[in-house]
Amino acid sequence: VIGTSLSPLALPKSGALTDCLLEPAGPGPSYDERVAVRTRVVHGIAAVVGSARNPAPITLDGFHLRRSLLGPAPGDVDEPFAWNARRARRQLGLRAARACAEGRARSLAQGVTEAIEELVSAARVGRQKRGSLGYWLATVPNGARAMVAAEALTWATHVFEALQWRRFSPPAVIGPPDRWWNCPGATNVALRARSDVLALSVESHPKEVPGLQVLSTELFEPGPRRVHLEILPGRPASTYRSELGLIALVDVLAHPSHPAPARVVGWWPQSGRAHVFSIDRRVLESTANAVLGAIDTVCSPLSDRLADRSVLSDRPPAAA
Amino acid sequence: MIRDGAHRPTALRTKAFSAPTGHALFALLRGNAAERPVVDPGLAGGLREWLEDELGPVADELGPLHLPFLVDRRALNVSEFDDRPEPRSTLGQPVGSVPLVHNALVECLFRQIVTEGRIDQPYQDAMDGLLATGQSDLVRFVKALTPDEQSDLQSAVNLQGGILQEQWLEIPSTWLPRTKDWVSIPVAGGRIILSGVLDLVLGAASTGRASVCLVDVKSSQRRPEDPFDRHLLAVLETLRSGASPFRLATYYSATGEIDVEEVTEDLLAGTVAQIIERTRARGASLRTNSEHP
Repeated sequence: VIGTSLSPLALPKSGALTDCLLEPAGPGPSYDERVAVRTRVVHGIAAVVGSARNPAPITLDGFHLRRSLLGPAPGDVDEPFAWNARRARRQLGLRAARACAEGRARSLAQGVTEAIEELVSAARVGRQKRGSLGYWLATVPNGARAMVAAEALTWATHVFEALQWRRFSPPAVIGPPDRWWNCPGATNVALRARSDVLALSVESHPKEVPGLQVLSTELFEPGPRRVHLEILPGRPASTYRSELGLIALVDVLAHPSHPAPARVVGWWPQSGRAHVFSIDRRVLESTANAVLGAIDTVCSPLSDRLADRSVLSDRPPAAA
Repeated sequence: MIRDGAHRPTALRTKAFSAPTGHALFALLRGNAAERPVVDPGLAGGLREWLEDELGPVADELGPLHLPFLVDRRALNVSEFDDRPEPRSTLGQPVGSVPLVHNALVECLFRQIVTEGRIDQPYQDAMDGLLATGQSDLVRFVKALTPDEQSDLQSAVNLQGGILQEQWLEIPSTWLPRTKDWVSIPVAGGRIILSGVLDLVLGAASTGRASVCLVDVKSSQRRPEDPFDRHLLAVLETLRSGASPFRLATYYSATGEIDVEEVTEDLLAGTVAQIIERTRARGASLRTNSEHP
């Protein structure tokens, strides 16, 4: 994937990214368009999942969406999830960056140390579930915890250096809770989207948006709109549009009566690339197509496997 | 001007220092903020265009079998050591080599001293660090070594851990120290990926003046390719951030020596010329091997 939404001459990049997030929002998808997308996704999932007998729970997030569209990356192994420094860096890095931005930590290093200590303390008094990051951190020795801190500090620096935080009013939220949508009628299917930073765009008015005069002002939902920044490792994959669109789609599916997010910005600090998406009907529809395709991919072999298993279970045990 | 390949990096600007410690070491890395050069925002774009123009045809010739083509220091290195094949796992045998695992253990210790300012038990901490960073292959390799080999490895790692503790104080948090920062720059439509790992980065993003210092850590002896390795990292950082770093260093953890060098436009241009030249050569070699296996 080539290209970037930021001018190479725009320095610092944090200023250019902040501009992208704060820019006034154009007209987003209308209420009718949002409901239409939701209806299509609900029916699409029902059609796919309905054909599977006793379907297993499916949670589709950006990672699984990418994997479904691209296939497993080289070296990907289907092993049970286990924590390591790299997998811990996002959670700890976001906590550290948030503590720094809110003035609760004097430095990112202190923020990381305190984030680790909080989780370990919570685990020691039984407030962390088995398998959680805190539970794991409480069990690892100092050398391992140092690598977790090192990895988290590098990630926290990428997060903290991404934006000019003081320009956001109200303040941007670093590491908001993941967004979930459980599909009505197919309760085993859930979509999960993550956003690293949630902010509000500058309030926009119809007269500020070029071309809007021809539209009915009833279609225009005034006021600031939500904008998301997602910070991703490596470089943009060819599926980045769907991965970023997932945040907006889950927002719309969960709250179709609310205006859709104005835009989603993807930032790949390791390659210095950014992509900015204004959310409109086409983005929602193309993301919905990708999601339905991914669920179909997951369900098809599953239904085949379940069918095979049910056949096997009806057979008498094979003779030794 | 940028594309004049005659501008080759020279060793004239490199200064070698013998085991500086504490604040003296930090002064070498950060220098005087007022003396740092003003960033030319057009330079990064010019270097990128040059790479795009020259590496596009290389990608065209390589063919889909070799794409995307990962261009890292290993692919670009011409020394005999780096041309040795990566150790590969066969039928469950532990993967690795003693130099590889030694380097990985020292890397863990370096990250620990930079992040936490202290190391308690160098060898044990480093082994625990290896596991936490998902390098369980290397841990298995170490466990499969003979007791004598393990003892030698432990001594070597403890020695370098001691040197690290003598030289490195806790780095001021305002310098935003970060370790093992991966850089991945797609060029030629994403068919060629320029890639590298910055062992230590100091300094916030540029707001007009160059503000970042890069440190490349070597746990082995000096090699002729070391300057090119750090120059490659400078190009990657320039392409990624849009601003060139102001200073580069190669730190030798076996001796505590450090080579320090200012970054100039000539250095970056000369390095891009070498990247192009070596990528072409590596591409030609791959094609030849494919045609005449």
